[in-house]
Amino acid sequence: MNEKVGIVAQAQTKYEPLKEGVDLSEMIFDVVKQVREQTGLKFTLDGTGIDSTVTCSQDLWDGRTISGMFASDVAGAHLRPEEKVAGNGVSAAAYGCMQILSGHYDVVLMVAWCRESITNGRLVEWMSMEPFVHRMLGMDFCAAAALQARRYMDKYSVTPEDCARVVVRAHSNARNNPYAQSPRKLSVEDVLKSKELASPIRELDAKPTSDGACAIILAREDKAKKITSNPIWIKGFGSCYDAHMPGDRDLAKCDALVSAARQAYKEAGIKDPAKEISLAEISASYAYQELMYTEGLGLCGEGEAKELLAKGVTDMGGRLPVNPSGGSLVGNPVTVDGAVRVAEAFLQLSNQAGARQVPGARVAVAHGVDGACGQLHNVMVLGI
Amino acid sequence: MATEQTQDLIIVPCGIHGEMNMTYRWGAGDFLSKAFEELRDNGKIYANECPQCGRYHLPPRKVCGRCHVEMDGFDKWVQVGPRGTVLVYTVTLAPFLDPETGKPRHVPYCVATIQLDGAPCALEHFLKETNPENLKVGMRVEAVLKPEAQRKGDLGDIIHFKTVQE
Ligand SMILES: [Zn+2]
Repeated sequence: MNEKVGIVAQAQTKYEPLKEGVDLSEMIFDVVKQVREQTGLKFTLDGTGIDSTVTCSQDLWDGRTISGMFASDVAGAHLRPEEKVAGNGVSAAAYGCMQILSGHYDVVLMVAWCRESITNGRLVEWMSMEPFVHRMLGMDFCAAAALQARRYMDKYSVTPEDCARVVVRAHSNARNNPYAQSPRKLSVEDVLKSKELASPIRELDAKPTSDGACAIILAREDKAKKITSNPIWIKGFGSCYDAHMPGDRDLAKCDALVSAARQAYKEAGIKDPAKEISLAEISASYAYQELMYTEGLGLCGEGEAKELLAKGVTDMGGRLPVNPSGGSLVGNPVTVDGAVRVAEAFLQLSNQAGARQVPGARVAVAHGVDGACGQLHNVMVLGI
Repeated sequence: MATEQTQDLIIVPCGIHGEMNMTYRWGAGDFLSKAFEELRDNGKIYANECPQCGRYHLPPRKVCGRCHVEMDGFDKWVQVGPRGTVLVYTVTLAPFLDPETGKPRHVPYCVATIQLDGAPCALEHFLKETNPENLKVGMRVEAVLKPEAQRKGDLGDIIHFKTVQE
């Protein structure tokens, strides 16, 4: 990228299985207010404050058609522009970045939210499936992921113990993250003993139901430098879809992620991601995905992520920590999870990550995903 | 995932099986319609081949996403199955609503990706077998159809795939 866009602030709610009695608007207001207070910015139309809002949510999860509409007041869109991305937060952050790169706006607020607890999420997932074929099978994302998990695990000899180790690490990392949803002290045995949902996926392999919101503010280079002393720059972005029907793909591979990562690295001038990247924040709803996506992001070869994990390379203190925040396995709502990955990358690179800080972090990769078996992948490279 | 919330302040029933019955009239299109008619009337399963890249689609599709070209009518259709090979499978143990009835589906049930004989393409469907001891990647299966008089012209005309010894 020739022009630079910086991230200048982030805010997150604590993620919880059930935010009892909380209106969606209150949750959104909470994080938007925080980033406004951190930056001192107001919503203006004269180029002196926040110029535009990008929201990130899903209609079916919110139970509202064009669900950005109800949030206009709390998201700062009263008599102002707002565009909604019905995808993951990495994609929404990239859209905000493009609004700035296009010259249309200088400062953009991105806010993502979801209360998964308010409805039957399995039906929401089921509603994303092909109506004539997969809905009849009662397929949700967990059943689809189970097909992919078996294929991936068979092809690369990944064991249930390897996947369980991912969960143990996620919870261990999350204990350092004040936003994290109920991190637990787990053993591999605890994971392997948890209830089977859809073989080979067990309850603790899967992300739990979660409520929460996340906001970030993006700004053009000159303004970013005025707003904060340590803006974090968006260095590259990539996006790629895979086939909708799982039967059309080799589920052992995540070709769309490989392609999205390649685009992002090219733009960021990264030649050897395994050497140049300091940490990765990966969106994984099931444990095997964290391994698969580590490989898809080019942080190691195909089938090698389990070895990195076993050797501690991707642990805190290792050479390339994966999900210092704990990631979605401990609980981040869908659509919000991508935004959290960007927000956590910002915290790490601006040295504000507290107990989960990766010392000396210079380049981070944030990954977002949508759809059954990871149909859409978004990759963002951020740097100091 | 939670299926009902009693703790929240206001519960508004609104949804697929809630008090508001919201239905959609999707069009299957002429390709999927013909495929389902063949299944209902002749008990045959079809895939179609892209004339440009040779990739097969199951069920048949009008546009090849890889080439972004429209298929040339029905002349590249090839009959597949009824036997095939299991590529992957999962046994679901978490009770799920049966979208056809709105009632909880009987668990366990097994969904598999099956490569049907006759063309390199795969379909997801139920396996009759649900015992993990008897399930294997690579096992051979065969489509079990409803009796002709009961077929409706949808994917449910295939009840499931049963294990076969060869
Ligand atoms: Zn083609």
